[in-house]
Amino acid sequence: MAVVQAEVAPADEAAVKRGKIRNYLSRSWPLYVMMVLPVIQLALFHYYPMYGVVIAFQDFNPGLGFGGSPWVGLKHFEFIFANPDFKSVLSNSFIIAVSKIVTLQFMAVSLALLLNEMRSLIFKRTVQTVIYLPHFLSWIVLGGILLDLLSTSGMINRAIEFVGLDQILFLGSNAWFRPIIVITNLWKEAGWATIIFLAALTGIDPVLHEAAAIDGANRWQRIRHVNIPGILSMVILIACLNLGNVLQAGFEQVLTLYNPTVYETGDIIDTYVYRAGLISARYSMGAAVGLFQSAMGFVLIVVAYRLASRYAGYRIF
Amino acid sequence: MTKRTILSRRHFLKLSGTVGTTALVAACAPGGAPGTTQGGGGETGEMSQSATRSIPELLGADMPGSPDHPNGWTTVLPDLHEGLPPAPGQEPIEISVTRRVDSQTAFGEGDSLENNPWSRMIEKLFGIKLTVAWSWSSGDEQTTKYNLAMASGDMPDYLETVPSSIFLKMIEANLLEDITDAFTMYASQRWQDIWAEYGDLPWIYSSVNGRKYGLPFVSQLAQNDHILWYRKDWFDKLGLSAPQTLDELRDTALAVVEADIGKGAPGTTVGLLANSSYGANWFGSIDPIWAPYGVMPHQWSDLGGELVFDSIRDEMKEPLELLSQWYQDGVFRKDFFTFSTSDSIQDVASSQCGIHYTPSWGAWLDTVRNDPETVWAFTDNPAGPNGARGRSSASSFYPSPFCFRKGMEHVEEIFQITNFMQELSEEHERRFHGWEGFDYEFQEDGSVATTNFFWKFAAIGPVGTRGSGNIDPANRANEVRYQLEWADIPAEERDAYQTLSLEDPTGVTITGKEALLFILDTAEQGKINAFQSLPTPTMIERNSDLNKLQDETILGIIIGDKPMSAFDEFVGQWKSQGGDQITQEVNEWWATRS
Repeated sequence: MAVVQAEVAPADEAAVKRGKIRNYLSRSWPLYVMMVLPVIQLALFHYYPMYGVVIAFQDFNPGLGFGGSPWVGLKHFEFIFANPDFKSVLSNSFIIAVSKIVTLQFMAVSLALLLNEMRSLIFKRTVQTVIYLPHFLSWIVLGGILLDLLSTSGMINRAIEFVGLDQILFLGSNAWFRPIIVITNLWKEAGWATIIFLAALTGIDPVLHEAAAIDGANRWQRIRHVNIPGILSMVILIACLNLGNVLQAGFEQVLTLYNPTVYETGDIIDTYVYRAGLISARYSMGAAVGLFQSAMGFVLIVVAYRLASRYAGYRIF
Repeated sequence: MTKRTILSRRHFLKLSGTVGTTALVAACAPGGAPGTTQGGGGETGEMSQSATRSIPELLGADMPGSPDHPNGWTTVLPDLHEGLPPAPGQEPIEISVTRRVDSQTAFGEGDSLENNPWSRMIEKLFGIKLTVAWSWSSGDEQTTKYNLAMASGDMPDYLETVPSSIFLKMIEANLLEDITDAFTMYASQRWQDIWAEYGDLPWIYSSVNGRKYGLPFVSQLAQNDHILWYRKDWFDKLGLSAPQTLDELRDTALAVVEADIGKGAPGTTVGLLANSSYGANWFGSIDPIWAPYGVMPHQWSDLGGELVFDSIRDEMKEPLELLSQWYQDGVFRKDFFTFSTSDSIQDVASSQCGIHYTPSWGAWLDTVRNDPETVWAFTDNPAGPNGARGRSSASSFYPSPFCFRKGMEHVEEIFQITNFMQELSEEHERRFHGWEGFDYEFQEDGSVATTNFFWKFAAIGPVGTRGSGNIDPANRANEVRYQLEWADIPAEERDAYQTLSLEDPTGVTITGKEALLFILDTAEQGKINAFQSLPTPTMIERNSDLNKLQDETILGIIIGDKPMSAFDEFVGQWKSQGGDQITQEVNEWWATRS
């Protein structure tokens, strides 16, 4: 139709373009309508509030608002970086978050591979349900249970004493605090994290397994040479995407489990902001730390995306 | 300032002595002859007859007291301001307020925060309807909601207990009404006289540049002053006597642990209660261990005209070593530092702990309910090595004031209501005990019992607010003296009001009242923070970091995770990380006071 129009009036290119657009719209307008709500949502709840980061450069007072609060430039950033405490808080966050990511990834992949090998469907489903369950408990609830379990009169210490060893002061020990955070996080999240790998495993072509079996590969060899290569790109992808979280050490978990004696190894950015920013009503300082954290996250996500697209062939744009 | 407080305490003792005597006189008439209850009420009521004549008619069924009941009494309501009560049919003025609520804020059938016997009385007598703009239950929620109110510009008329940090921001944003003149104009003479006793203490946290921007939150004298409570039933069983020195306290606590007499699983008996707030707190505090050594972590002391931060003084070392040794010996729970103050209550409530430093109300009622064999007794704080006894003591005027919205039109009305409530609830001879059917009920056998509702939660402002409820810090002590006189009247001869005041099936409440009087008699033990002011600029900036440093050092040393030398390191770091500057600011403030 456009061609016909072009022949009739070759000079009127604009009209042709209009026609093309009209044509395109008449075909795909439902898609645009579908996009309207998400775009509004994104603009309203994600982009509009970003305006709030200006308070990181002000001495913010809610009564004066964004417009009325005095501007102080980089004062809060200077305060943060001059603060000897902030370095330890930053490294604590980094260490805890990285340990969590690495162990969780390893555990989730192993669990998925094992689950995948199960013959009895009922048993498999039961195990899955059981290991998904902790994911739905909040850290506040779990924290109470864990504090009880790990206390000196708790079940774990009872068991240790029963074997004849000395009590361990789990919650007051800088040596134990990070392992506890990492292990409890594994226990809570490992099951949930298997889902994506299980899905990837079902995507592997059964023909490969049949061929390997015919070639005489045992189960272990089939896992090594068929399953693992089959989900490798997914593993790399998830690992890369997790890079964006290397400063997210888990606020609720640490807040419920820490106490002053383990500040040295357990105080993370979020708990620091909570104490120094929110409890003392220093919102601007809190916002400055948050902005720093987001900036780091942004850089890491860009890096992760580059890595993901190079090694796992993962692309959005 | 310390001088001034002691002075006011002395004055208080004198004052409460006189009130105690009048109480006795007033109590004799109705107590001696139950039939003349109403006559007794009338006698004391003469001074406000003009009001009593019309108000009961006006209030009708909502009249406090129970004059019509054979065992009842008459509540004498204070006089009303001229022009009140409002003419019938007049539209009430609405005042929006913010309210704190908690699990104990409960109302009877059909009643609510906005509509209850008290609010109905206020509406009838003052023509004012108090509407609840919003309420909160936890500290975080309070901060968040005040922030939102500021940011949205939608400030309620009357704000209950604004946290200090928010209060300062509200002042900066010019959102609060200056009530300096309103206070002198509208507050009753008796109210102004009571606060004048305390010098500038009432206004320290609510004035900026000499102008007052809020009414202080008043707590009772010695509300959180600690003495040593112990389980007398355990001590008797083990043949122990109340410890008089810190050494004896250690031995006694260890004996209790050794005997494992607690109700929990084997090996869980706690010797002496402690928790992560090792300084002064409101339950299971160990401040009476620090105080005999002359220091109190987190507080400031006046040393020859200079204010010094106690937490960094050399005198900290001796008690620190002592605590560390006690911890190692097993006096404390091994993981006490993971317990918050409110967690500590559970150790006592579940009968796992039988020795604790707590306030006069600390013989926890739950323990008696859970374990009827419980017998609590208190003793003076055990003395330190040089015979000194001590404890932390707080000013009765707290940092979170009640504030008025800038441009609020009904400041006078709030003062009128507060004047009225102050007279009603702090003059005990008026015999106010809430409303029948709401706060108390007559049983079928003619006796009277309290319900689980309390009139105070329904009220607003410095009088009648949950957790505060008074203008006069000595109110509770006066009331206790007044009521303990009645304990001598044989139970069957008490009228319903006296029975209610003394109601105590467990015996714990009376012991608590005696403990309060004991604490007030030993007021000289109290160690008050010399720095009573809003935080200095460096404190706002550095305190959370410095507190972290202090908490991890002191708790670390107590549990043996850190050597004693860590204390000297901490002192150095504290000074260099802003502590020196804070000390300077605090002393500048101190200079302006003397």
